Amino acid sequence: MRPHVVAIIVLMGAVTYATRVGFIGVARQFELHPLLRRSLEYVPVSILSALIFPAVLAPSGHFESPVTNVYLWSAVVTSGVLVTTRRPWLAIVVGVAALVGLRRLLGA
Amino acid sequence: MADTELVPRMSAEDAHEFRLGLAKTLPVVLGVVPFGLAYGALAVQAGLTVGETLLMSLVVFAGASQFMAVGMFASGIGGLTIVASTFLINVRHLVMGLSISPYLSETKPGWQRMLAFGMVDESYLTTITHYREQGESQGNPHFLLASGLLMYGVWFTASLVGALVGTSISDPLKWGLDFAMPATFLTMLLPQVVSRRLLAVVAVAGCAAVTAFVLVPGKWYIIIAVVLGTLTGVLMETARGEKASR
Repeated sequence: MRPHVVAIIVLMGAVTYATRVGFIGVARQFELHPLLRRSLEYVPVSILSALIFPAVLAPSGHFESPVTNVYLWSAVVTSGVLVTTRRPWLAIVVGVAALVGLRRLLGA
Repeated sequence: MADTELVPRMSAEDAHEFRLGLAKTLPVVLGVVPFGLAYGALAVQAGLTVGETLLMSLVVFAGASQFMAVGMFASGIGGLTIVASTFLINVRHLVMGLSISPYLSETKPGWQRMLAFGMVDESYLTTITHYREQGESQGNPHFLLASGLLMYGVWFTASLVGALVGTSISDPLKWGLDFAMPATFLTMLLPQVVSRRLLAVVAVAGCAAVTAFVLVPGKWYIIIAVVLGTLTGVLMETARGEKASR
């Protein structure tokens, strides 16, 4: 291992950990303002949406035609299975299988 | 001295939450495998040694910034730029930490510092979704511990395999497992959309994210989506409150 590469990696680790540990203890130390607490209610749903929408609508970094976008159709299948069976595991497995199947079908 | 006691005896309840943390993280972690393989393979191709490749997975443990760093190493970009870019990509963790902090407000600082290391997108989302489902003011830290540990172990192992056999496997991101992650997140999100207000938050955050994802480099699309999504929720809540009090 080259010392300068190790140094860069350790510094990368330090700044990354700083972002993770930075606010995790805030609520133990301070009483959060009610408005902030209310705002935080919407954070998980927003982050989930932020990770799902681009992965499904722009899987290769740019918008794709909804008709040939296999990720979009697989997401529709996943949602359909979840809503009808209420089984997350089944929905995920069927969704992934749908993606593989659609790719084969379209040769994409 | 209680604060320094990092691994107290697990109660039956803690053990149960630990197992639940493993079980609920399992589908997301499957989606991480192809990315870990791809990272390992790419890092070695970019000229990092196997040791350096693994060290980065052990010390940094953040997929997007590791991919970015490998690309920057390959094109000979300076260390300071790599470190600064890593920080910018990971700024989103501050928001995640803040949003999970009320559930861990009675958790000891030593535990909080340990759990923070394992708080990546996937473990954070799995854990906070679980805490919200439970509906109690405090979350059991053993759930996050298990979720973070599983992510860490799989990320390291996949990086190792990728670094060793990387060039001999065809693009792992084409297997279909890359859809396991968005699919799992979708199954976490849908049950939470129980009101018109939450549907609006999802729509605004989702549209903002996909637009920013295409137009803005880095991970800013997550922060932009959080700001606009949260704003939508709070404004609709306030508007409804005013209507009710009139």
